[in-house]
Amino acid sequence: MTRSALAGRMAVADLDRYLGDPRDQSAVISTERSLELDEASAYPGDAVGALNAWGLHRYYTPAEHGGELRDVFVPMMMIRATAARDLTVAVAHGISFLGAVSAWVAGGQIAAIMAELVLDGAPLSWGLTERGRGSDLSATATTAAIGSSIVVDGVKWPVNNATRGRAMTVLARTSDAPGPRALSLVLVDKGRVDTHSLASEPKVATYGNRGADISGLSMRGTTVERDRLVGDPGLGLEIVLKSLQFTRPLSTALSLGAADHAVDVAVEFAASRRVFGRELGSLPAARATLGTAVADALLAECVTFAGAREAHHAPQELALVSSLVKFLVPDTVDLLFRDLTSFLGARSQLLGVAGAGEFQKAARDNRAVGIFDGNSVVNLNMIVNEFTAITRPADPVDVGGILRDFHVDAEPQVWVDPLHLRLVTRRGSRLLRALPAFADLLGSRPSAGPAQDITAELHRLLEAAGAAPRQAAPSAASFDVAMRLALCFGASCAIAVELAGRGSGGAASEGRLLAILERISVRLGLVRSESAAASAAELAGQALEAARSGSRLSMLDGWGVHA
Amino acid sequence: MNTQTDAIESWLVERVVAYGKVDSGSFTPDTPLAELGLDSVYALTLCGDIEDEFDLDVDPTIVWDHPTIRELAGGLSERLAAA
Repeated sequence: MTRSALAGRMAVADLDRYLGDPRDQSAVISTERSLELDEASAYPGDAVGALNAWGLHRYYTPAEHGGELRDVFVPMMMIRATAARDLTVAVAHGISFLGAVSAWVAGGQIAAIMAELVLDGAPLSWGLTERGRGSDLSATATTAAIGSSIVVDGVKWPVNNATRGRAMTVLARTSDAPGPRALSLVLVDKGRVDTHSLASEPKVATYGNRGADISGLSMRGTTVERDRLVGDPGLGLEIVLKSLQFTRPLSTALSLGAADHAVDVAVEFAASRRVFGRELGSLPAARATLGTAVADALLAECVTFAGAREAHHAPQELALVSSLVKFLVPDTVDLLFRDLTSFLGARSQLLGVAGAGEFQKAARDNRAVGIFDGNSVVNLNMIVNEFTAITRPADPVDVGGILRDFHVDAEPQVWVDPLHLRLVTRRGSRLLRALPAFADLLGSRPSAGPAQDITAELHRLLEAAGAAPRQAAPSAASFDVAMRLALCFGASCAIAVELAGRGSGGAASEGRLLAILERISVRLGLVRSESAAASAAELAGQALEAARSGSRLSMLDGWGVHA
Repeated sequence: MNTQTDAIESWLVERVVAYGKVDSGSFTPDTPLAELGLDSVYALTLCGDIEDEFDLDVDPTIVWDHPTIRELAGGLSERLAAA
């Protein structure tokens, strides 16, 4: 492992130690305090301040601009560690990364200006949405008149951090001409404009992330300097769409944290709860349910990791990969929460019972992850739009290259070159193309069985995708194909991570992969859930054993994820 | 305008008609593509067809920058000359 790779992991572990044990009331993020603030829909200001004091924002800024961002998976693991304690806190802090990323994609002088803001610990926001326009950014009505300075008029709502943020990256119309080239991005720094031209729109009451500052900003003749354009005029929508390719995988780190939280609660429950005079975790049915949830959590981890690695190693495919990741991870973790809700029984909904209230909060908070930065429907639509690229004939995949890129001890040394990003891929994702070869690499291992079944399903899906009609509003059948392709992609991610892991092929590692792949087969309807019960129960055993030694099961041994 | 640009223009007209949203003769090379039913999904399809026909790697933003058949033919011609 290189020195900078090691430094990234040590920083993740250091933040984890700094955050402390959430059961300890004096920890930076204590569960008790999190639940109190959530009940009151109050902003977790102390915890966000403590993350700034630690320096998390430094990992949001590329090293070339003075920060610590090299491998994007490092801040993702930090966001995960934070979200495992309190997802609301992770969102409240991480939103500044989203507010800044357009400047990293645009490059040039504005990146230096943005870096100064981020490194100063300024909270940022990303002003894309407007009232009544849903996910359709091309309908943006906020205007920015570019002259010797820029005059912004309009209302951005609902936007996370709109009120607390010091600066907002605003998508605005800079030309009357029709089409996407009429939109540009402008950095509005509240510290550098006439504050009388600004007004806050009230905070929105939300189902999850209750404490988050989800509000709005109204700008009336707000004047900013000419050099505050983020990218050239007319590049606004293109930069946003490319930025979303990073932020989509990034935001799934929140779901990983939520999954960690849920699995921790469930494992502890299984180990401590006694039923019929026995430990709950020793009953076969309970073990299978717990193991299924752990399999979902491990799948989510593999897919998020793949998103981070492809951002660096296959940026030209990130248009598709980011949508696959952003659809599959929150969806899988939602499923995990639903399954564990029945496992925990009444406890999953209660407040004020030891270890209970945090589960319902994490479940609610996770629901929001599937919505922001493009909701599930948007992401599935993007996958459908890629059917032509996915089904186009391609050269054989360099499987060895993928495994080198995915090796658990290998880390990219520099932040991504945004010039390689595209709005549509030429050949889909190399991970999807590699699934048949990956399944063959498993040879005679038990996991090869479900891997071959999923590969056969992938071939059927590619045929269906190739025959699907091209429509602006895809059919339900096309959405279904997209969902199932995402599961096949997940299988490929899991196999790649396992093959590139430290303990690849060992009994424990094989047991984890087998449980993940059998779970995917169940979700694809290829086998009945009963046939996956044995591998799930075995996985639950691994999770319970890990918990006894104070750690948490992971597909990424070497990243030092501890409970 | 040169013969190559003419040929690309004719090919584009043919493609747009083949997508089945408009009849031939109901538009000119200067009609905005957006008015020809060429939404973002068809822009993706068109990019794929351009790649297959000219072995030219283009992103859908080419349609943003060249929003009519005439402009797009000009843009493609330039890229082919540079390739």
